[in-house]
Amino acid sequence: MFTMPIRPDQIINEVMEFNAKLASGLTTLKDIGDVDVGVSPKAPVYSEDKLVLYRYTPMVEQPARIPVLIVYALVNRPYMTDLQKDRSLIRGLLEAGQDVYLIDWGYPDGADRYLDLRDYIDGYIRHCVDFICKEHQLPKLNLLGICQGGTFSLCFASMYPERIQNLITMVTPVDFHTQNNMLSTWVRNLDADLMVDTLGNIPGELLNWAFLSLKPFRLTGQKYLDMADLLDDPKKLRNFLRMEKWIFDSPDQAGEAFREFIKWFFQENRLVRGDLEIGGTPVKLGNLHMPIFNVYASQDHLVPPESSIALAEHVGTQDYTPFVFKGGHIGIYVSGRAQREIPPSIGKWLDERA
Amino acid sequence: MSDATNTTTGGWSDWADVWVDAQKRYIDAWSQLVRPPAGDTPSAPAPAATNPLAQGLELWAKVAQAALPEQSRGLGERLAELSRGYLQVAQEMWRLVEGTQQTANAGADWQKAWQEQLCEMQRSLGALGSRGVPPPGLATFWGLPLQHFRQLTSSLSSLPGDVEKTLQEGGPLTADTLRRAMGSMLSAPTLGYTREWQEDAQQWLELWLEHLQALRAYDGIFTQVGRRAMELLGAKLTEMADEGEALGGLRDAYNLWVDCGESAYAEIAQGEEFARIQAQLTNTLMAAKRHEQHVVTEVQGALNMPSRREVDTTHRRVHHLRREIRVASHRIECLEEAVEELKALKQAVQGLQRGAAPERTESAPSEARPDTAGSTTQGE
Repeated sequence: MFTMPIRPDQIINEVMEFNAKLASGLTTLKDIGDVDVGVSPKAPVYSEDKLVLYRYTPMVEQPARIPVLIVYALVNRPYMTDLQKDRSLIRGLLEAGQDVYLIDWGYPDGADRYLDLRDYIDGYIRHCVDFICKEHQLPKLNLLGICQGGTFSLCFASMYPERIQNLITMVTPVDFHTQNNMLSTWVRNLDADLMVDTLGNIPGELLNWAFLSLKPFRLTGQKYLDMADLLDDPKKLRNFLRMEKWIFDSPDQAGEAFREFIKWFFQENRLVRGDLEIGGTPVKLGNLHMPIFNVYASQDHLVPPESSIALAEHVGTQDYTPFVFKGGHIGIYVSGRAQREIPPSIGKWLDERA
Repeated sequence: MSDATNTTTGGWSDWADVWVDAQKRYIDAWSQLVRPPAGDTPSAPAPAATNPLAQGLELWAKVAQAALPEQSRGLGERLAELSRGYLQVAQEMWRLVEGTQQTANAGADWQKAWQEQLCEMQRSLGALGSRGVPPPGLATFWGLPLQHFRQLTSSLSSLPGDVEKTLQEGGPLTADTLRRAMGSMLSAPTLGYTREWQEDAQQWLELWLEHLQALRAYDGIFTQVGRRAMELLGAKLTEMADEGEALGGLRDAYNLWVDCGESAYAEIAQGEEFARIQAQLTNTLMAAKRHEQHVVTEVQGALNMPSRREVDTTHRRVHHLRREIRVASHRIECLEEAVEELKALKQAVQGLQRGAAPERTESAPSEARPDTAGSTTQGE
């Protein structure tokens, strides 16, 4: 029996309902005002060029003795880790008794065009680590790197293993040549030299285009359709708008750092090949003998899980803990389950190695 | 709502009539929101009966943008775009099922009618790519990555607006036809005093032609994605129809179409060809822009004006200088620490000397004295 999968009157009704929802929902949009991001109390404690190092106000009387420094990616803004009160990795860590610092890279401009990976890793990160260690009178701290910041953290930990007590990586690309890594496949034919020589700093919009092109139908169409369902709920709409703000808040990338990251990591896969050098210092994952907690997302479309899982094959430590989160690259920060699972697990793991 | 349902079940065959009613309700709802104070007559145009869909949406978009606060206007624009696309999806779906129903009611085979309507949809999508402008309907979103790239191109280029679109406004245009049209200029020998300028202009045109070809290839690959998505959608809908399964509604149909689109896209976008074409799109744009920069730098030099190249040189030098200063500062810090350590050591040695001096006088070997004395003397 052949049956029409959908009736004409259904279509008409839904269209009308959709329109009515959109029209009435515009009232919410009209009154929504600005959306705030970054909610946990914090204070700037160190700055250098456009970088600002923040320390978050501990939420327990006796926070952990060894602080955690969070190194976020350059490609988006770090407030994703503290988006709102009930969606905050940082708040979760604070509640777990950690003493949390975060690097905010700022927005590079033309004067930062010649910043390279040496400046970021052996400059900015090292200076922040030095500062925190000095403040706490400690020889080493806990490092938590996220996404590209995780890759930077691996490099730093390899160059200065004596400064890292415990290393945590989240959705971090390690092996850039695993199968199904769409972004990596696309980038391999890119003329990074021509691009940087032409543009100087790489516009954030260009990166956004690449990221949205990974799933164009969902990311440029379907999600806004889903948003129409939220229009009559100011709280949910605010949550959506926070995410939207974050997604399109993409700083330009310092040209030389971009050139090196594309060529050395994406195109040549030097990190796992073992021939990476930062400022003349060899970066060997085998140098990583400190405890490592590797968090990855099983449905990550930006950093395929295989790319993160590969870390286990290359590190020198005997204390390696993988942690798989059933979700995507964004859900790992903001989903309700992520809040329940990830910060407490990190806190517990750190406490066991304090 | 109930009126529309009743009318529909009574057998509407004219989408426009349905739409007029839908738009009327929609605009009524909207006008509740944006109704001006009493006495102030609204100036929004009434929807034209000939094209109620487009009129209604345009009205909505215009009024919404004006009524929304500035921070929400970007989202308002996206909603307008989305609304157009979604309603066009509805139109395509409506045509599919209504067309099938009519053909079947006229005595034709259901499945045959269904397949014919699906083929009709695919044919209409085949138009995508001929001029790089997505046709209305399901294809709207297939054009989004390309549209976004075009907008990006405009922001990165010294040319105003969308260069490709501008070049095509006169009718269908390919890189080949443009190359033929420009052939005389490109092949003209470069001579005399303005020789270099002519060469630059020729090269600039060549580079943009290469970029146009890359754009066309990118456009073409999205047409492939569109066709493949349509195949997947058709197969899925036919399977459902055969098995007597029904979609929950239009949103389900839309979501199914998105799934098919993403599947088709993933099949193609993970391939080497897509990667090559996409990289070529960026590489050719960069090459054209690089050449523009070269030309602009030449002009700036001729006018004795500072250029980007000079600014870059200055930034590079400042950067190297800062790095050298950092290294030097670090060395100084290390030296200062070493000096402090040395001072502490000296103090410790002096303390030891003071404490041990009487004993040493008695028992220390005579050759130790000059060293100790020398270090003390030196320290003093």
